[in-house]
Amino acid sequence: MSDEQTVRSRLVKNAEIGILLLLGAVVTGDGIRFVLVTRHLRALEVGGYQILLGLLLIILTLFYALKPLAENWRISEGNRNTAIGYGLLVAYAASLHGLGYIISTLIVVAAYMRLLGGYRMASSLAVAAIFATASAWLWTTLMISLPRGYFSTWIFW
Amino acid sequence: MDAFLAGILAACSPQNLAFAFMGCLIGTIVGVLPGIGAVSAVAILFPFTVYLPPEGMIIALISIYYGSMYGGSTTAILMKVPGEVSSIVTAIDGYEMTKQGRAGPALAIAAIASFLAGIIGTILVATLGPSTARLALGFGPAEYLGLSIFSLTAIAALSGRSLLRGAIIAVVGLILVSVGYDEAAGLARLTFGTTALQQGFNIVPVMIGLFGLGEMLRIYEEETGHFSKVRIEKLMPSREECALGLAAGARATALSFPLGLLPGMLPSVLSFLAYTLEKHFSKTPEKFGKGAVAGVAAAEASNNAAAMGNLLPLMALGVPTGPTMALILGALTVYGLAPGPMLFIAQADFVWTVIGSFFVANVILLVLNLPLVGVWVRIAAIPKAILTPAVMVLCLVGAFSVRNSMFDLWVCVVFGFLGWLLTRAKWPLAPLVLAYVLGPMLESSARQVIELSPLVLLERPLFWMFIVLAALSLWFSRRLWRAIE
Repeated sequence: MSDEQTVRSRLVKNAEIGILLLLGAVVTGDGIRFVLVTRHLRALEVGGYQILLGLLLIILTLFYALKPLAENWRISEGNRNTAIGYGLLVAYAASLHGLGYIISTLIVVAAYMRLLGGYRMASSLAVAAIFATASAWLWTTLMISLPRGYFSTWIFW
Repeated sequence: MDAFLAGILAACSPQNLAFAFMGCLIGTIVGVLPGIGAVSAVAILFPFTVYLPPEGMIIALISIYYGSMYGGSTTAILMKVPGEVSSIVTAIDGYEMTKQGRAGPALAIAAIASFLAGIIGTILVATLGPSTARLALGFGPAEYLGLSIFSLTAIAALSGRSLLRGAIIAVVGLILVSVGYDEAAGLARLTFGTTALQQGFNIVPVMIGLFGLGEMLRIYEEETGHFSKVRIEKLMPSREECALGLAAGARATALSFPLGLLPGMLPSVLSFLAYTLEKHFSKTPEKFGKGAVAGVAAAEASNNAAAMGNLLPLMALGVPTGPTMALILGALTVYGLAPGPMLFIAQADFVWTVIGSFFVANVILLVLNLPLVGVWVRIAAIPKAILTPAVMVLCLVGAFSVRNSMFDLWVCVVFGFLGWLLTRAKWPLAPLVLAYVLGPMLESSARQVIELSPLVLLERPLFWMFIVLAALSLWFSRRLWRAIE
């Protein structure tokens, strides 16, 4: 491994260890809360299982921390595209409730094609419009309910 | 045998045949899309099958699974783009054969070897299923506790090169499934006072996220391969190639079906093992990697035999051995059907129809695949800028439609990122999913054992047998990974 890769791998491993230890501590803490605070007949059972899992995770993570470093992360050109792709996905999920299925699908599919495929805006919008309406028709035919959004009363379906 | 034949007849009813055909067709279409493997295909399409009757849903899912495996092999051979890990081995010799102008024989050998392994596997499932289920009828909490520990240990040890990483991710899976309202005790765990988390994380959005969205995000990082025009002039292999391929396929089936019964022995692991052994014992090992028919046949037969082997513990014991089986288990529970020994008794017709459909799906795929190779190749050439948004929309609609819940949709989005992140950092996903499915069984059987008295374990030899098997799986995993390397 080169120096740069070693530094990157160490950073990633430290982040992994930090997240896992935090998760272990939260789960153990929740278990202790059950055992000590909750006055319930089965609090010991429920809390005991949580404590067991939390402690097991902490112990395994500490063993993992002692293991030698291995290369586990590579920065590639694809990272930028993945970030855009995931950003659009989150935007799509966020817009579905308000804008409804057809409008959000149209916008997001067109954005994907434009930003990640380099297609022209007009052709992206045309393909996205066909995809959004055809898929909406298919889902409703299959009796799958879709988020309708605030503008649903203005749209034909 | 009569029940098996009756099952095949029931699977051949027009309705079931249509489900099997559609499943094979859609599964192959999704399987040939670059980067989408069998698990992702089942995860993405699963929500759309819950609208079918129980038999139809399972038949469609199994057919999607088979179809996507076939589809993955097709792109592996023609484009060196394996749809999933198990097809990587097929690509080694399959793509070399394509470069030598022998794409037709490579596809035909792959299809024939898969078909024969699938048929032999179906017959073995039909033969061994009822006796395994009868044995499991005597299982109590202690045996189920032992079985859960064995399954989790084996999957943690076998699914990746690092046992420690497998164990950590399995514990994370157990923690994630414990989130929400505990019905036995009536207490909410790890909900931090929120009502949304009380319902817990439904397995469908979790799986769609991990395998569907996660794979889609990964596609952006990889070169998906460029398809150079392949001419398929001759489809059928020569007599010599047939003999070599069938012999290799038979050996791979004999190895992979029994090993496929064990948790963690996923088709991806076994296809590597079968290929390595075939090369090791071959009289012409130098031909492997340069277009050996035996290499393609061993990988494909092993893949299918292991898939059949994986189905037996699911049907007879209710224990999934890998992520796809975990999804099929989830599908059965949607209808309130609990796979396991009682399913063979209480729903015998259903079980035999499903087993019959394995047989029918294999026949459909053999008939469907070879003549339509040209169509699969065109589908595989769809640009990823069009493919990925379409699949992402499919994933989110699928996650939303399970309970019409925006919470599930966000769970899917978050687990999609988690799936991408974990794969990127080389953490195995299979132990997480298995722990997610087996967690409730592990916890409830452990609680029952404690309520009865932990001393009851001393009187249950089967519990100790599973513990010994768990220890053996740790030892075996070290040898297996060394053999594959």
